Amino acid sequence: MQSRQVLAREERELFKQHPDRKWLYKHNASWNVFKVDDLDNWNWWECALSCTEPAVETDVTEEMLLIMQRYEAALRLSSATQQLLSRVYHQEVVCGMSSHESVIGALQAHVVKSFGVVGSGIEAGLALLRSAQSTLSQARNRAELAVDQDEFVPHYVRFNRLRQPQVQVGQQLLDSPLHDMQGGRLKFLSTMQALSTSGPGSPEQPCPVVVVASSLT
Amino acid sequence: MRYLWADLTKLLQRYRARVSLLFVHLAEAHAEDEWPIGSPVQVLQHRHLQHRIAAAEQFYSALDLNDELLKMGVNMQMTVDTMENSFHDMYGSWPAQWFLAVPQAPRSQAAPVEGGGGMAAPVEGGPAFTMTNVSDYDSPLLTLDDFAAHMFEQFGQGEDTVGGGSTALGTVHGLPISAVTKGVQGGQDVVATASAAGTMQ
Repeated sequence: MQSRQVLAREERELFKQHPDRKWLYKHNASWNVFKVDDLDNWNWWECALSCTEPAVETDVTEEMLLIMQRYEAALRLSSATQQLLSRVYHQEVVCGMSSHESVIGALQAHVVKSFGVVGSGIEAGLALLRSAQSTLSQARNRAELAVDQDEFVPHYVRFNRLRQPQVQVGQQLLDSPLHDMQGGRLKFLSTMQALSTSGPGSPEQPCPVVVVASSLT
Repeated sequence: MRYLWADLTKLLQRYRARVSLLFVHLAEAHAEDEWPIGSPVQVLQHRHLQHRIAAAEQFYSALDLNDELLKMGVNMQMTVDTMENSFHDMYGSWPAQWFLAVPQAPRSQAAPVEGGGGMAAPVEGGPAFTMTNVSDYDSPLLTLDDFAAHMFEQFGQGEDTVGGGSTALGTVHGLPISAVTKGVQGGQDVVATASAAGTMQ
């Protein structure tokens, strides 16, 4: 049986050779290596529902955590998962259910169980997976993990643009540049003023303005 | 957040005679080449302004804003954020946000901003605005309910444009609008349950 360190090193080499990330290690009881050559057609949730997971108590090492994280990202982006998420869209719109979180929660649980974390350890495993960035960053700082910082930023963190606003409730709005639908430049406050003094409002009695910001997706 | 848009649009229709609307199209929340989550509409992250404008037109069309709100004579303007995401930087709007801005008394020069954060830009002869209610991405359902209640406090019942009956949007605290609108039967509020969505993982 190969050591975990050797496996991790080989795994990193495989990822370099196969940037599409369809080569994956999966931990089972004997730490054998196998590849999943096409996650796109794998309905992992059917396995999660029907398969008996190996009853193995596992200590999750940093190397394992890194691989788990990559496994999670690959599963999230697979066509099978995207199609599943598309199907739950209807539930979200019509039933007001936040099904996306349920699917992602099940996916993460599946990842954790795939690495031999079972029973009462699953909740802890989930917490570990969700805080992997911090854990791996600390391991890297201790020189226990020789990977680039970018490698352990979770996919859903890498593209998360959430940030604290500069204006809070009760405060006065601040200006910001915008564009009109022809690409021309606008000023937010001037636009607000124009909207407020037209329509239901007037220069003498400006009306409130509801601001809605969103995107197509 | 996607499932909230229908209710939010109804709310905006209801208060169309009291408020104006400003739409700002932001960077894509779940672009196909970044963080896809199975959206039925697949779009790449905007690389240039025309791309963002095209996505905005598609979004507004998908929401039936042109067909519904414009037909009703709603006073509104559609805009897009800059490619530097200036609006999001200022208001933390991404992935989605709504708030009510209430005009203050007209003033002729810039005024200090409450709580620090600089000076508001002077608006010659026009009003400055105060943010009175803002959505919280961590709890969009409760946020929309709170927003409806806030609108009700500000403007009363508004006009029923949903069709049929006397739905009481925003009058039941603790329930999302969808539960309220779907739960009112024969003038009696039917208690429905709902849970707020958590932080997206």
